[in-house]
Amino acid sequence: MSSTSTVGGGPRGSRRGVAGSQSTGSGGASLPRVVGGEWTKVATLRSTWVLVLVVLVLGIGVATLSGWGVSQALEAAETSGQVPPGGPPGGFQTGPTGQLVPVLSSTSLAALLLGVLGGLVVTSEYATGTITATLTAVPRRWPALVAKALVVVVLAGVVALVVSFAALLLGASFFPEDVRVGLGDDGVLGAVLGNAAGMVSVALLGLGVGTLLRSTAGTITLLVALVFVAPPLLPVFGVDWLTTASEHTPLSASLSFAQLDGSAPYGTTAAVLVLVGWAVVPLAAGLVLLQRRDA
Amino acid sequence: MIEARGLTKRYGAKTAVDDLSFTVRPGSVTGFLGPNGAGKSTTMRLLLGLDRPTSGEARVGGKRYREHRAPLREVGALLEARAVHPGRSARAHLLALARTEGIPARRVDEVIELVGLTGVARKRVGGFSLGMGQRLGIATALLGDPAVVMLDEPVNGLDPDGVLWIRTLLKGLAAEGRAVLVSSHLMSEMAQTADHLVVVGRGKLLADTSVTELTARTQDAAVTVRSPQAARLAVLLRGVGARSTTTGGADRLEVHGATAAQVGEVAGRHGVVLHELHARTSTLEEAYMALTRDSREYRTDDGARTDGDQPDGTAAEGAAR
Repeated sequence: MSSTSTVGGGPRGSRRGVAGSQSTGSGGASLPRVVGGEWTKVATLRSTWVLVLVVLVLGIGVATLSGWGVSQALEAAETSGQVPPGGPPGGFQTGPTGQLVPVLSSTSLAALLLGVLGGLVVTSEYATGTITATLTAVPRRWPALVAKALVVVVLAGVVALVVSFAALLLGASFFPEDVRVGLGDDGVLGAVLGNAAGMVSVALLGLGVGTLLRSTAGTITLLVALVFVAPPLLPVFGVDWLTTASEHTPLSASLSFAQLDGSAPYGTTAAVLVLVGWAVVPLAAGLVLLQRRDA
Repeated sequence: MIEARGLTKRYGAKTAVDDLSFTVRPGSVTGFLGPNGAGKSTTMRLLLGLDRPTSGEARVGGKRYREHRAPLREVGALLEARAVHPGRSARAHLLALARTEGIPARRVDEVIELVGLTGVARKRVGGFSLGMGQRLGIATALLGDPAVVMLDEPVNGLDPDGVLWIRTLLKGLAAEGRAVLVSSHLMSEMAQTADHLVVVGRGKLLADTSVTELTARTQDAAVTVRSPQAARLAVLLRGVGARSTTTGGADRLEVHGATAAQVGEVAGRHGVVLHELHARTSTLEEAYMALTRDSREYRTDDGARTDGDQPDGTAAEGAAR
């Protein structure tokens, strides 16, 4: 078959002799379609699923180990009559907070990796040049980023929920039955959902920072700083506003849902706002830059 | 149809595209020629709305690119061939783009077959050769069956078979009534494919002409003669209507308006001794080199004497020094 007769016959049939004068045919790049395209991109990369697997294994694994470790320390303390060094506040008289905080905070590495996943969704396009294809297909640009955000929310959301629920169920399973927290207990479901929300917030933070920086290395560095380094480091200086800042980092906010003993620096509404802020502000800034910048 | 009007792009103090205006009409292949760094790729990025012009306007298919709601159906472009995630398969890459505009998967398989990648469609792009990458880029450009096709250096990395394939493809696309813009830094390549030429250098328009016209211009071939009686020969040649000028020494003449045979006959008839006589036919390539001589981004110090080289060869030489 000659190329002349093969090139045509596309979605609108051959355009021989009528080039440029045809109607747009079956519609344009609507948001649902762009979401479909972005999902195809994410789902057809092996690295996506490798990262998801690592997040699941690490998130659930570390939380399980943490639950086991804390329960062992408690048991030892109980027999010796001492509060274990570095143990949770409240000692062996452990309440729900004493179980929820160590178990759920152990998913922070998984949250960081979800942030990397969110970042890679956009930075890998800049690294490989795929962004050119993306923006020529969606020249209005914002639908492409909104679609990426939706894909990240759904993928990270499912993974975060699985990790958070499994972390609680497995992590808490080592505690004696009479004190063990369950999903039916007051505030426990909120703590688990809050933890998942924190993970999704970090994933969107990754996407936002990735859009701003357009570099994988830069994005990972900033994520590690915000998620891992800042919370323990900032209070060290003893400066009030730095301490306050550390309490408002993404994972401090998501952990506040687990602090059922009233030790949280702020309430549920504030925590939700902090998480939404981390998810949305960098993304919105990235969106503005994406619209303005040369690709 | 592609229309550039006063298109200008500055990066700081450097002007990459300088007040460029040209039109690419449907039904023909327009070659976009210029040395490396002439602003061809930048112009294409401006046409596609990837970069914003400092001033001027670009319209593709009657609208600014950004205003198209289904741009892949209007304009197909190949910018950088390897701009695909190496971990994704060719088919997945095309499928993702097709989905954004509701192009059916059937069309994806169609363009894969058209460019001859069916056998490797499900392989990861990371393992592709440069030529396979180019073919995937062309498949991407043709995905939406667009009225305007824009290809940046499509023959790069293709083997002779592939080059021939591209030529046939481009002509076929134009014959179907599409507007085709193909950039290249090789005149020899464009001479065989393009109907029309837009030549740029340092971001400026140097020529907007048909290949036929440029060929006609280059037919003005000269005859070089070396003779100890050059001055006398010049007078005799004027008698038969030929114009001659002294070049590179008093005994050398460059004759216009007479063939080498005619010059020899005049000399023989009047007993003028000739030391050298040869016809110098100028090629399209030379016409292009002459056109772009002053605007090549990188040149050897004696750039004017490297006429035989291709611009990229010159560039490589310049860089090596």
